Amino acid sequence: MLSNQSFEINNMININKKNGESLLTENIIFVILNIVFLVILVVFLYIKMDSPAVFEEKYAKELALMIDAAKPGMLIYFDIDESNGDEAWFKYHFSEAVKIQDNLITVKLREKGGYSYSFFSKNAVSEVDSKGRVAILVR
Amino acid sequence: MMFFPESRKEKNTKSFHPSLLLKSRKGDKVISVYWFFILFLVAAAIVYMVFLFYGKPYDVREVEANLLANKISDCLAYGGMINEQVLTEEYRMNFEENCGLDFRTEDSYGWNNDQIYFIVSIYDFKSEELKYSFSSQRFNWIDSCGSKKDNNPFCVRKELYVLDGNGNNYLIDIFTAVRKTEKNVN
Repeated sequence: MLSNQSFEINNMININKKNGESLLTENIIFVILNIVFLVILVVFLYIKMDSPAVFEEKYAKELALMIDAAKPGMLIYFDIDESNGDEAWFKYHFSEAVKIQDNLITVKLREKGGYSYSFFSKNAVSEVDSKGRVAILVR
Repeated sequence: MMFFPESRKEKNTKSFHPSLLLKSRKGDKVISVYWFFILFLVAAAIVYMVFLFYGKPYDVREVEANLLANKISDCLAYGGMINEQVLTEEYRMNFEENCGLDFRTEDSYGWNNDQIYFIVSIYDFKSEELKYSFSSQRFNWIDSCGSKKDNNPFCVRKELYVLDGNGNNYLIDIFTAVRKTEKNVN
């Protein structure tokens, strides 16, 4: 009887151990899945917020409005943060970052891309110096 | 049977019974499904809001229309005195050129250099008689001004009170409109 009883208890302890291990594994998987989910969400938000396309549009419109607001003879300096674009491309092509043709300004921060916006002031010319700083002269 | 008294044995057996654990695990699984369903809903809402926010372009039409009105007013008057050249037909005919304005726009979206507009009306302040009026050439959406629909142009009206060298009073009414909705709203 005693050995039967002891066997029964041992058996129950073993079942509980197995169940406990299984519960622990499930909980770990659950927590890992939650973390993975949150990481994917944060990465998505980060990619969307830091997209070069967003900065191209922002810079193009800001520069167009600056030119429109400028008086003749004004010189506008504008620093472009290269981390807002494709840094590897921007490093060797910073001179192509801002172009003004007639009354159309184009900002390009990556190889395939670019955003253009027109302004209504005449005679604005731009130049990019060796430090990647944009100088726009409104005549 | 000999190890524990009957009542105590029953109690302990219940607390260790595997079927209870199974029940509790089923409940956990149901909760997990709901948990992931709620997470999915939250993620979908965040993704939707992000696309809503970053999918829309920056709307700069209001600033642009105000800047245009300011630039035109600078060409018409300075320090409360009217630019006497405005009173000549030749200056008004070539106003865009004389004021350094260029209303050409990008070719995209079927725009035909017709996205920016202005009209200037100069009144005699005392008699309210319209003395001169001139405008840019093309604009097909003038009737849409004032409507709050997003695809309509943004319009600004400014009025200036000015004097000429002879002490005559004028009221200058400047109306500007910027459309460019495809690049600012949609």
